[in-house]
Amino acid sequence: MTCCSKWNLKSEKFHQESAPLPKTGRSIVLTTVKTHTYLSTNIQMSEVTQNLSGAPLNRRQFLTRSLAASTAFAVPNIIPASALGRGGAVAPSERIVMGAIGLGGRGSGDLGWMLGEADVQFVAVCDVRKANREGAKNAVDGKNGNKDCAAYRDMRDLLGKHTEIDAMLIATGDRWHTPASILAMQAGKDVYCEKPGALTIAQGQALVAATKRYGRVFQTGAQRASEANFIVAGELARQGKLGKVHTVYAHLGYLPDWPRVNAVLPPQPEPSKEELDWDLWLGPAPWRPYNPGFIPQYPSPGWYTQYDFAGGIPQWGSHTILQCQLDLGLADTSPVTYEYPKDLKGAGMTVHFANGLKLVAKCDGWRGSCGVKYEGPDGWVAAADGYEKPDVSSPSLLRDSKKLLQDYLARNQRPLNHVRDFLNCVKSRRTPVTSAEVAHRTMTTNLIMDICLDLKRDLKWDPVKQEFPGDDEANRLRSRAMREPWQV
Amino acid sequence: MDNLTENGSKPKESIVMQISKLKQTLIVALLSSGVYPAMAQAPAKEQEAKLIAVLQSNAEFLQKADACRELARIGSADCVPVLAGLLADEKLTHMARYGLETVPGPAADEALRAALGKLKGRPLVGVIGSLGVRHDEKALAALAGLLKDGDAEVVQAVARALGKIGSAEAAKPLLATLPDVPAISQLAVCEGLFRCAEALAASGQNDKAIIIYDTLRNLKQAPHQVLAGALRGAILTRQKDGLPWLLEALRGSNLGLMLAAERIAIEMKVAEVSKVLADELAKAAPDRQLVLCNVLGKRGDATALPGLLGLAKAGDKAARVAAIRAAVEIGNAAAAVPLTELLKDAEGEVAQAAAVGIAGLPGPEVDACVLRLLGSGDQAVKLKMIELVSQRRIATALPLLLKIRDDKDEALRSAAIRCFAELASETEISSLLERLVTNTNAAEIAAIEKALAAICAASADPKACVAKLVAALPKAGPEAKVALLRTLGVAGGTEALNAVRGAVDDSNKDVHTAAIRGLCEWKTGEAAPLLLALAKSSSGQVDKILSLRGYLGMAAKQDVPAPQRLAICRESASMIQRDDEKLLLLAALANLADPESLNLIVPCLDVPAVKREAVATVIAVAEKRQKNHSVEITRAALKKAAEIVTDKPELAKRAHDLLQQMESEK
Repeated sequence: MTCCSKWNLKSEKFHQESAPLPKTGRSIVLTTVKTHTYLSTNIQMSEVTQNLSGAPLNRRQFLTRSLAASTAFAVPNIIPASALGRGGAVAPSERIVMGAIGLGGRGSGDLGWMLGEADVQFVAVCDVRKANREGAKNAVDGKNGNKDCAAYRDMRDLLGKHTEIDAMLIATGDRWHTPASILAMQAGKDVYCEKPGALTIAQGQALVAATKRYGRVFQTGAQRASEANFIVAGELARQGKLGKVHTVYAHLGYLPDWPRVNAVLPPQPEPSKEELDWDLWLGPAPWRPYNPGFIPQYPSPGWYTQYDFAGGIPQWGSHTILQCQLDLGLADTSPVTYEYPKDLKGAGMTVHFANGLKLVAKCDGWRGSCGVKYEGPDGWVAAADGYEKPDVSSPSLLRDSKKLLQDYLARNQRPLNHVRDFLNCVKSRRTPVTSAEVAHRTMTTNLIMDICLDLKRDLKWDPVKQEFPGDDEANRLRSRAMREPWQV
Repeated sequence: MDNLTENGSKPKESIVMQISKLKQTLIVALLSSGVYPAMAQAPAKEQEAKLIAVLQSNAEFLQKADACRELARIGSADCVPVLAGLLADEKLTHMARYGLETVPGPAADEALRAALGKLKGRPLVGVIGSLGVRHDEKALAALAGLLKDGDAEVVQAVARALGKIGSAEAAKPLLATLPDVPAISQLAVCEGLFRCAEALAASGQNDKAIIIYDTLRNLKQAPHQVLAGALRGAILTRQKDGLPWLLEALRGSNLGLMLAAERIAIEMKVAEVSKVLADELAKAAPDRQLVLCNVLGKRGDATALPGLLGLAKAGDKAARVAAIRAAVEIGNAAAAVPLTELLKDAEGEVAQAAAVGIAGLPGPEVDACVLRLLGSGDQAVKLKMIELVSQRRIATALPLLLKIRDDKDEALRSAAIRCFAELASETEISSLLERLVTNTNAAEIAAIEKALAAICAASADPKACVAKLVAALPKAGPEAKVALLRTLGVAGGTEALNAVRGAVDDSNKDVHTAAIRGLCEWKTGEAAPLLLALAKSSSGQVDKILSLRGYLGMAAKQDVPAPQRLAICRESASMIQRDDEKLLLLAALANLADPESLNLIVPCLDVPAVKREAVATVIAVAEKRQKNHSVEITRAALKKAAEIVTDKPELAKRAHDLLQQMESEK
């Protein structure tokens, strides 16, 4: 169709009006943003000047790209400060401006990681807990050498006020991951959000849709996807060095008991909203009386163990099942059958993909944490945290590991740094390795395993229609109503 | 997710351990209710009736909330009236919707619709959201009426709900309100329209979707993300016909739209995109060439190769490098020859990018291209090709490398040997050994040793490798022998160990020392008896010390059983004369945590040079003590340790604390 269209409200019908196409190659009057904050700023007429087409990118874009291009395959871990002529500092106009939501244990760790990247500048932080908020602000101010970092209790205030922010770090409790990510993307921010990516299958679908809708870059914090040992293990599988992989194993380090619980603790007086905003802490989750026992991740009854606040299998599966699917080229789908396990904590739980691959998620038999193992007719490989190199069935499998890794990085133009991968994609507009789609499809596997355990029976799944065929009971568990006013 | 669970500990255990503490402090009434409790076993109707009864009773809030949660799984039209009756209850309204949202059939729709006119504030916002989740077309008129509500949260909820319903009829009130919507709700209305457009396009109504996207594209004062999303929708829905818009945005100076277009161009499946963008390469300014290269590389379409390779030859340096990278990312072997022509480019970065690019290009044709140049190029090209052979691990280059390693050019010769060594496999061991035994060039020996070690480490038949290495020993010169001994250490096994032991008696001093060091660094405890014997019988003081240290080192090997490790310590203790070895002994004993080890440590408490380390070792052993520890020996050792370590109060305190702890355990 080569026309512009309008909605004819009077006749309540659609009709189209012919309009000229923009002609390629001619000079036309367009607008240019003066400041560097185009990534998120609502571009106002007062901020722009008229200019001719073909004008160069602003310095931020051009310089960043030039530097990346001139470093051949190695996407730079930082922009070389010397090249910017600033003797160790990246010029303010070249930085990715960031904000952060959720700054407890993991969030402050992620914040520290990102603060270590030379081209990142945080300007605002948000946490419903005062102590976390202030700790994060101090960390940011310390890096920036000033006291300017804004601190918020309510993420809506941060997202509404800071139009200059390009990207958000989100490391809240699991119940907030999807709603906060979607709010941030609706506000025009790219998002690095901790795993698990979603609490329900419907949330995952909404996450993918929002990412596409606003053209945002989203990375779920499954950092092992950017670690050498896991990449080598994945490459051995992908390159056929193990033969046709028939079975993969994923580590389940922690599991709640089934049926999952919502612990009942005696109500206690709510702290002041400034100290800890309980309503915002709960967010989209069902309301319950305040008790400080829910605030930490664990020990039980911390939020980690609660049905309303977190998944069961996803606690570890969002690391390891994601890694298995990513490495086996199955991160755009989910298994089709789920076997209700006789001995979950021993033999584990088995699911099958449409291509015949079997995935066994289990707690026992691992060396190291967050492990994965891939088996084929020609050998096996395993990787986990703390390994010096992957475990293999035969040393010869690792003979070319350096080249395997090098080729992977060249082929995918990626660094061995998960946060850096995200930041590079913020600049290049490419899709990070653990995108919203990867997060959603792999979380679907995790969440269906939870549903299987909740219902105590085998399940079948249609990954195309994203439904349990002919299984109304299971289909009803794909979503949970969110507490008003939150929606995804 | 918090990284607390990623530290290798067992969180389950910590939870159990700490629950007791919580119980003490919180007086926890852990009535842990299963989300799907025991009554889930009852027939659904019976179960539903019980849940309804809970909701109609004076049950506590949390019990009613649990009932709603369970009704979300099994509830039918029967539970709708009672759930609907809770929608106005500010505390239970959410859980009532939680139950209602998944109930099949029209009753739940009707109940939610009926509530629209009765509720205000947050409960109303929630009900609107649930109608959206249920895609209730019949609620359209009522919802549209609320778009003018004075409560912004209500307006925003309606906009999103209409978007979830997603039909053409749902879009109309949103389009109508868009021009006048208050700024606070503009984004929500846009969101609703986006959702409608997506649903319309998914159901084949592209024309209607395009109208929405174009309306949003032309929206004044719109946030950049809305303009970007609208551009995306307008282009993707139009498919090939959207290309002019794509080009316009890529050429334009509105950076928000340009970035959006860059992402759209990567995402767009239409085949023509690659060709159009490749054609654009030659016309574009250098900064836009970078953007186009980024897109074309990611699209991976070989039709863009000619354009990219053309740009790689001439133009802005950064753009040339970007073009090379993109050409390589496409992964087509056809790029290989043109890239080799850039290896001698005057711009160093371009030449380097070409070299790195060839290394990463897949395909046997690329290997063939590299081999051709290896056989015919000049010295500089050959050197570059050797590097590429190594990076690409082209095993078929071995015969050529064999020739070059005899070249008169030293740089070439050396590079060829290093490369040969890197690529060699078990079948080349004999060839490598032949080259090694008479070699005196240190760099070549090092390269061959590295290759042999790598082959042995990865070999499925290390014994066969060892046999060849051992057979080469008598023919080898001293420098080569030293390399062979180190390689035998990598290979391991009894035969290798015996060969290294044999070399201890070699008349050449370097070979002799290398053999002793090889034994000391042996990777298993198998070498321990040999080292003990050497420590006892060697005539040279250095050999004695080295052997004794090596022997003590065996006490740290994980494959050596704990009793044997203790025996090693015991045996060593009687031979140690120097303080340095005493420290090694203490380090070994600290890890053993054996009660007898205290008998070996206590004498060191009287040695001034090592007494502090001895105290630390006593404490370490005492901290790891088990039931079989002699309480008296441990207590005596701790007392003595506490007395003599007055200059280290923290150590003294730990010793005293342990003593107190032992007292309390009586």
